[in-house]
Amino acid sequence: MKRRRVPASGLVRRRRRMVVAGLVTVCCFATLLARLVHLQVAERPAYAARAEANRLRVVSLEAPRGRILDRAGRVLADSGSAWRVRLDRRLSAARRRALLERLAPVLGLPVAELNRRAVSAAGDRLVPATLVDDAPDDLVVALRERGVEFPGIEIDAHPVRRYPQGRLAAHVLGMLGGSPGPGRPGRAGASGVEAAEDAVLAGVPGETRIEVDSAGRPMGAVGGRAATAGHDVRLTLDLDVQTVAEQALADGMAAARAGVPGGAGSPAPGGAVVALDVQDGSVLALASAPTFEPAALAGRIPAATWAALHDPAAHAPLTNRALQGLYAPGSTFKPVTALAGLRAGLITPATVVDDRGTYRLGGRLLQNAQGKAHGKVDLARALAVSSDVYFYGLGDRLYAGPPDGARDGPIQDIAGRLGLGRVTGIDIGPEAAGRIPGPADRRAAQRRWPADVPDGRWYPGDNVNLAIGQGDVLVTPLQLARAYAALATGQVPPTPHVVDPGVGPTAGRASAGIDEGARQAVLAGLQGAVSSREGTAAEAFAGFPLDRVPVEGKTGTAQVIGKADTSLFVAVAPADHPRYVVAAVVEEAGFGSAVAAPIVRRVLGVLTGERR
Amino acid sequence: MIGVGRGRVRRVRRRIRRRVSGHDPVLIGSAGGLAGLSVVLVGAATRRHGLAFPARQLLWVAVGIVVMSAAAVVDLERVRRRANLLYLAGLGGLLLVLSPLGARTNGAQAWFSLGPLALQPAELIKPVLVVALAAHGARAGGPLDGRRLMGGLVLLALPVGLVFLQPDLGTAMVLVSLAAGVVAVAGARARHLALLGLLGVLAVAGVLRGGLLAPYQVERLTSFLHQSHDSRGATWNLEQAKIAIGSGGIAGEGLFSGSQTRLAYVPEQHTDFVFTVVGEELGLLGGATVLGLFALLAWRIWRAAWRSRDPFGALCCAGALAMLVFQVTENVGMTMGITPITGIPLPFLSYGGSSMLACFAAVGLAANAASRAPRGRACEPPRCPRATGAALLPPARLVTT
Repeated sequence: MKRRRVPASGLVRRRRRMVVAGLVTVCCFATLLARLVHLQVAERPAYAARAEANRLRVVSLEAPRGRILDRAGRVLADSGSAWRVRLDRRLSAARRRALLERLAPVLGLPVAELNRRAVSAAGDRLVPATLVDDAPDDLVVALRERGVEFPGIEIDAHPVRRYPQGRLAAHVLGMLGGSPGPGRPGRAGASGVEAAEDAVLAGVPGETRIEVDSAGRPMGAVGGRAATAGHDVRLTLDLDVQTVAEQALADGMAAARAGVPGGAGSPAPGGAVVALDVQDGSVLALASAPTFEPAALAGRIPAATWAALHDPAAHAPLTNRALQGLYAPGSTFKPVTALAGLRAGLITPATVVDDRGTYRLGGRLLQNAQGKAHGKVDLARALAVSSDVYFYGLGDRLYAGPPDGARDGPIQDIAGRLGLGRVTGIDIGPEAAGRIPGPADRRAAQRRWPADVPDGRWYPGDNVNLAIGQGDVLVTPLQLARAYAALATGQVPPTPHVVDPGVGPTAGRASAGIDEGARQAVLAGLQGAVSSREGTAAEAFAGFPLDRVPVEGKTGTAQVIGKADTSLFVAVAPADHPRYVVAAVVEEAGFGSAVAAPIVRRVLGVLTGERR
Repeated sequence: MIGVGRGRVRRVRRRIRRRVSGHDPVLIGSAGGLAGLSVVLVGAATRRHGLAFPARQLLWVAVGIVVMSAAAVVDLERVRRRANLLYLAGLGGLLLVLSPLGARTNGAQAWFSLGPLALQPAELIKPVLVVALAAHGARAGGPLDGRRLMGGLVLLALPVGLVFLQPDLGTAMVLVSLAAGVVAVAGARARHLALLGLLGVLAVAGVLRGGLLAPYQVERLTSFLHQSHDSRGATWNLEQAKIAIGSGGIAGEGLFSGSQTRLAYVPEQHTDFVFTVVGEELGLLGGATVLGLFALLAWRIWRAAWRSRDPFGALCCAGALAMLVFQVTENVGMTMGITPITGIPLPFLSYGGSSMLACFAAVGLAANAASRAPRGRACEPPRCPRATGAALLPPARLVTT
């Protein structure tokens, strides 16, 4: 018995400790199980999401941009597909260098340039760096055949802008610029319709989801969605009119440079043509010269191309002169002065002035252009032959005295009613505002730039200058066209637009607040400028069927200090029921009658169907 | 001639039958099941590298089963008598690996390189230390007094010191915990154990603060305490492990389908973080099953210790139990962010031969002890102790109280 109890006590002690060991074991396993359940049940959604985030990378796919069409649906800007040669961004620097050295002769590009392209564009390492973004087919074939020689090079197709009409309407269509933002590949519109309608044209980018391992190596695509192409945008532009406008502008400038008969040759570096529907402000043609090749700016822009576009000798081809070019209107401003004189009661249409070729203002003797004396002129004849003397006198009499007075006169009022000197609100940009000077404007300028405008007063000489569209007055070709549209219809100036709003005829607009009799008197003078034998534009419109399509127009020859005159012409047709207004401005080209008027004539010809 | 031959054959056969019969199929089965699963899990974790890893693991499982069988059938008394020899051999291995014969990988001098395979003496010392401490405890013949306890501590200190030199912090912790298990069950005084525990806490604090460890080791050990810190630094392993286990859910992503596993987001996944494969691909069901298998194993080892009347066998079981439970808790706990990250393999499941052999050897010892324990109700005294059992219970040795 004793021998049995003695080992038992050792056994009992051991077993007592074993109970404790067992409890510890149970606690350990219970803890592990509880934690496992917590992780895999309660916290599962969070961890599953993080596993997905680990696993997947999203690469965006560029959407093809919508097309840009003319008013008849003809394609001005298309979306095509181009071959893109790209380089894996994950190659080591040494391997990249070696690869690019082998690739350079095939691509015909220097190694340094290729290397710059391979490393400059920062971004997701999974998205290869673009070396060439519009590779010709034969290059693609060559690269594909020799694919094994160029590991890390991939070739794919991506959407690019194509321009079936070449340079046509380049300023209206505009350019593509930089990246539209994170997660959106490709480029956003930077100017013109591309910028104004970017949201419509852009489409929705697609995406590919790629599975990557812990080292970031792609293991394959696991779905995604295709890109949705952008919507088309239809313009009010007419391809035929636009073509003629651009051609006429180019021809006019070339003729001015060559020296038109009876005039000296001039540099004629730039110009603009605008054709509007007088009723609703639809832009039928909008040309600016010099122009540029939009296709050359659609992809990667070589530094040389960019430098050439910004060379002062190129005369700013990217600037849309129709919207941004600021010009003194010269004699095309005279209808404004005439309306102001009629409104002020200083003249009637029948008032006759004896034009002896000069006008004395204070101590200065002002002359007609070329010193010509027109003899006795009433309002209509003053406009037709463009008598400066008539309007010098009118400007002098319209002066509302004393020089430090702040109230604007009737000229500024009429100019404002016709929309001159302020932005038109056209749907593409950017647009310059211009300026109609007057007492208030002069005083404000003096306050703002005291160094440049030391004298804030408005003198009679200023008023006389303004009366013939000289001095500080600046307008854009678009403003000029729009002002004549308002003049022709008597309604408030229409808001120009190049994008077809897609709705029916708009309701009749409000009156511009111009006396009907005065307006008719001025329009009669403008018709005389085109159709009377002594009219300034008569020569330019010789042979034009004015009996079927009567035209009202006004030439302008604006003096620019240190440069040749700006040649301007604005016309409305048909005069009996106005539909179109066309303005042409050519810089440093001489007489409006000689350069700008023939351009407008050609555009009006195609618009009215009298000459195709 | 023939008669004599027949008699010898019969005797040998009887001896083998005696050794093989009476083993616990649940104990051996759960260990074998875990080892078999390890081949699949290692395969899943290293699928990108082909079949090399699971094939080697399979080889180690086979070798491990041989080792377990040997440990299970060997005469425990002879093991006890040769415990010191085993211990010295183990120490010799630890010393040798520090010499130029040992190979250095991952900053630790811990391997003998044998062609494609590698042996890690620090793993093999674990069952050796269990045997040595159990023999020491059994020799005491009663509760460990202060002197005997000090003897045990010396037995522990030598291998721990050598393992520290490699350095292999994780194995040192396993050695300490299995020693605690043996010593506690051997009957060390509660007072002494409490004192040692306190000293242990102070030692850990001293190690962490005292500059004995490289900064990366301290960072790794304490990263589980500040898990929201930078996701690319010290907590990267832990974050990826938790993402793998957490995303598994109840049913798991399916074998070979877990993205964290497939795409190699969990570092060291086939070795120390093998439990994340279970968590991600087999889900809660698989994870609970694996924990269940470990619990089954622990229960059967505990049961063997409970039933064994032989102090040496019981203490071997206690050591094996402590080693197993500590490694499972620490390893699975670290993959789930509740214990420090240390380089401790998950018994049977982690890739690696030495750990596999050590675990099979420990389970073999426990199975051996279980086969010698009396059948039937645990508290019943043995009715007919076998010859070997009687030899293990020399009454003279046990008279101490």
